[in-house]
Formats: sequence, C-alpha cells, structure tokens
Amino acid sequence: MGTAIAFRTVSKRYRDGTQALADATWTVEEGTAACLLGPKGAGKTTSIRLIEGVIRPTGGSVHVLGAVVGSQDFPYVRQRVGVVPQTTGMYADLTAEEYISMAARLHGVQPQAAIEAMGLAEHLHARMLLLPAGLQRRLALAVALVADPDLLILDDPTYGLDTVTAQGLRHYVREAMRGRTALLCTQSLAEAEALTDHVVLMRSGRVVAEGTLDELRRRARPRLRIAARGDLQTLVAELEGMAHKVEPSDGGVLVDVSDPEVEAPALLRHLLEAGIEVYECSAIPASTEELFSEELTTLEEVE
Amino acid sequence: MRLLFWKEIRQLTRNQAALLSVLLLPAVLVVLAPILALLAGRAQPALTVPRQASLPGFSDLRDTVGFALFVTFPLLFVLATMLTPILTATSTIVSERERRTLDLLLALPVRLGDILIAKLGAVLAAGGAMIVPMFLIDAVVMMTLTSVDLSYVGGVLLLILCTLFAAGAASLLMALLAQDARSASYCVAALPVPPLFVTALCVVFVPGPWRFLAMALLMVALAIAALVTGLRVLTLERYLS
Repeated sequence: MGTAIAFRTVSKRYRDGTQALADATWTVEEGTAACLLGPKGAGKTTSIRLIEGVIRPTGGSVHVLGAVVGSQDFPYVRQRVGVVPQTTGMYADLTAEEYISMAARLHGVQPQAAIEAMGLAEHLHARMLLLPAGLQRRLALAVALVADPDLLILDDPTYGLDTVTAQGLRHYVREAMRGRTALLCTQSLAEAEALTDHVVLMRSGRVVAEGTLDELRRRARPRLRIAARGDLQTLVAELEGMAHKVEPSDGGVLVDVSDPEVEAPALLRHLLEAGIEVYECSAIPASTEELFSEELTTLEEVE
Repeated sequence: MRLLFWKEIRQLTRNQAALLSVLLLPAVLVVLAPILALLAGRAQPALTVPRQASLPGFSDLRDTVGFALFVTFPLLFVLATMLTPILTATSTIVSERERRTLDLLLALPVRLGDILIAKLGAVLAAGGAMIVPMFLIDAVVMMTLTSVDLSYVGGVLLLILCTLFAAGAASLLMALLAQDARSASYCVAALPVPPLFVTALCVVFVPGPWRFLAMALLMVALAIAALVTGLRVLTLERYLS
C-alpha cells in the first residue's frame, strides 16, 4: 500500500502574515481512515485547501495520491478526490439536483448512485438553502461521492449540528468512508474515535502527535488506580512521600506512573510494608481526552 | 468552465430583484437621459455652445446636440457600462464569499481561476446583454433625430465593448479587494473613476470621431493594467481570505 496524503515540512503563511501551518509533516496511508484533530485555528482547513490545490504552500510540498499538488499530473489526481467542505452556506437559488448534477457532469458521471446512497431522492427539487441542516450535509457528502473517489476528505461534517442530527449524519459519514482512504478533520474527539483509526493531532499549525489512537494512548502517561482500607490521607501521604503525583478519585487515588508493569509491584510492596491494606491496584490507560489535553499542554510548555 | 458559467447565469436570472436594480441605472443613463437630451436639443435648435478653440475636443462642436453626442453621451455610456457589471459582480462574486458558498465550488474538481473566470464571464455577458440592446434603441433614436451616421454608432459601440472589457477587469479587482458588501460598495464608487477620467480627457483633447477609437484603446489599456494588478499583485488567493 502506498501513501495517499503526505505533507512534507509544509508551511503556509497568508499574505496578511497569519502563519497557518509551520513545518507540518504527516502522512495518511492508502486504505486508512485518518483524522486531522485539533481545535479551531489548528490549520485543518488550510491543510484541506492545500490538498484541494486551491492554495499553494509557502514551504515544503503536499503529495496526494502520488502527485505533487500543483504539478501537471495533479488535475487528473484531483478528479479522484472527493471533498466535503465545512460549510454553513448554501445556495438560495440552486436546487439540490442542479448542484449535484453540475458536480456529476464535471466528473463525467451519473449522480444516481450517490443520490441513493445518501437518501436524497425525495429532496432533489428543494432549494439548497431550504433543506434541513442534516440534508444539506448529506448533499455535500453525495457531491463528494458522486465520482466514487479513491480519497475522501471531510472537513468537520458535523460542525454546528445538534447532537441528534450529528448522530444521524455519522451513519452516512461512516458509509461514505467505507472502502476508501478517508481524512476526517474534526474538533471532536468522540467523532475521531468513532470513525477513524489514525490521528494527526494539530495545534496552531503544528503537528503535535501522529499515530493510531492505541499508539498515542501508549505514549501518554498511564496511571494506577489504588484503593486501600482506612484513611485516604495516609495513602496519599505515603504515595507523595515516594515522589508520585497523586489525585484522589472515587474512594481511591490515581497515581501517575511511567510504566505500570515496572512500577506497580514495587509501589504495592512499599505500601503493604508501610501497613496500608491495599485491596485494589489496576493500570488505567489514558483516555483520548486526557491524551489530547496532555499533548497540547506539552506543546504549550515548549512554546 | 462552461458548466460554471451557466450556473452563474442561472443564478443571475433567478435573482430577479438584484437584476432589476442593476437594470434601472443603465436604463436611465443609456436610454432615458440621451433621448431626453436629444429631444431637448431638437426643441432648442438655435441654442449654441460657446467655441473653445483652445480645447481641441470642442473645436468641431456647433450646437447642443453635437455637445450631447460627443461630450455628454460618451461619459454616460462609459459610466453605465462600468457600473452594470460591477454591480452584478457584487451579487455574484462578493456575496458568494460572504454567504460562504464558495467552499461548495472549491469542493468540486475546478480551479479557483476557473471559478472566477466563469463568474466574470457571466457578469460581462449579463452586462453586455443589458447595455448593448439599450444602446441599439439609442442608436435608432439618434439616427432618426440627428445627423449621425453608422460610423458614430460603430464608434460608440466599440467604446462600449472595450469598456465592458475594462468593467470585467474592474470586477476582478473588486472580487479581490472587497471583503464584504460594505467594502464592495466602496469599490463600486471608486472603480469607474479611472475610465471616466480617461473618457473626459479624450472628450476634451481628441477631436471628431477619432475620440471613440482613442477612448476604446485607453479602456483596453486600463483593463490590461487592472488584470495585471489583480493577478500579480493581489493574487487569486485573496478571494479566499
């Protein structure tokens, strides 16, 4: 399998001086459901515009399906990329059918399969602006899928939707991503976990971390949950005496460790020898939320 | 690009309120004002304008009708021909960005340049479809009420077509300069000024029918200058920001 998207030390500074990307390097392998995860202003939409070829990087290079964006081959490659924009705007004077038909004709294909896949057949004659928000996003999905692309880019497809509509849309997004390389840009950790398996974590135009969610969890500092009979303060004092960071939680404590397998036996021995009656000791992997905030905090400290 | 062009035309024709408001101004400037001026000139044939021998553009003007034909009308036609596409561009180009529908186009396998060219093409086609028929009504009236011949009509038509080209370039500048409807309104006020200034200079300094050729060439020069400024200095990327 090859590389579907490769950002190689990509920088993008806009004419107003905004540094949207700074030496960003990340890749998405073919067949992967990947995620560009980060808060607003992380550089996600700029990355998508670079992949679309709408803007050019000020440094480095962007490779999509084997072609350098902006090269002579790129317009052919671009036909194999479907994009769902993060859009809040819809045409008031075009119907859903006119928009999807235009997209299909640009690709030289028929739109029926995409219309059916996204359940839009009954809504084709409605003006785009008058469609409910969920249907507007499904229309954008249908347009991205119209030519059965090898690579699907989704820019925050559930952005601005209420929980119920977002949940309903996720089913269509999952279907759209199935069987092809996909890059989902989102601010939502839950969405990243639910839909993708490879994550590129971004902040202020920089890549903070990259890998599968399992890899990122392993890289994050795990914790031990310890519970003991008796006074909680004695347990806390004993652990703090061993230079551990301790946080009380649900009748026990959470203890920061670098490697639970190595540290837990010694820690337990010490506590038992100190007369503390430990009845629970278990390793807790970092949740994605913890991982997300930890990586971003680390970056802030470096800055 | 053809598909994008027809998409723009479809949207323009559906937006009837905007179309009507764009249509009214040229109707007054190109049809109503000239016809009224000609009728007034016929009613007062003895009224003459003072000879300004030191200004070559006025040396061959004998009466108010001549003054209207060679001084007032070129200015009116240039103003109307500049304003119509620029006003149309406000609703197609600037509002596309303002309403955040541009991303829907960028998601398609088209280049940003293609999107803008299609929009400018539609703006010019709509402008031409409004101005040229209006001028043809004028031409019939002028040839009926005055002694002008086809060379005058041809000269003015050439000026209108070259001004349309300049208006297209001005619309591109507006697309790149205007961030919203408010800044677009500043552009609408400012962009016709250079062509009007050039027209006024030609009216004053170039005598006879040659003035239309001079004006037309200067309009083309202005258009090229605006295109170069737009594409090299401002760049298409500005349209996205």
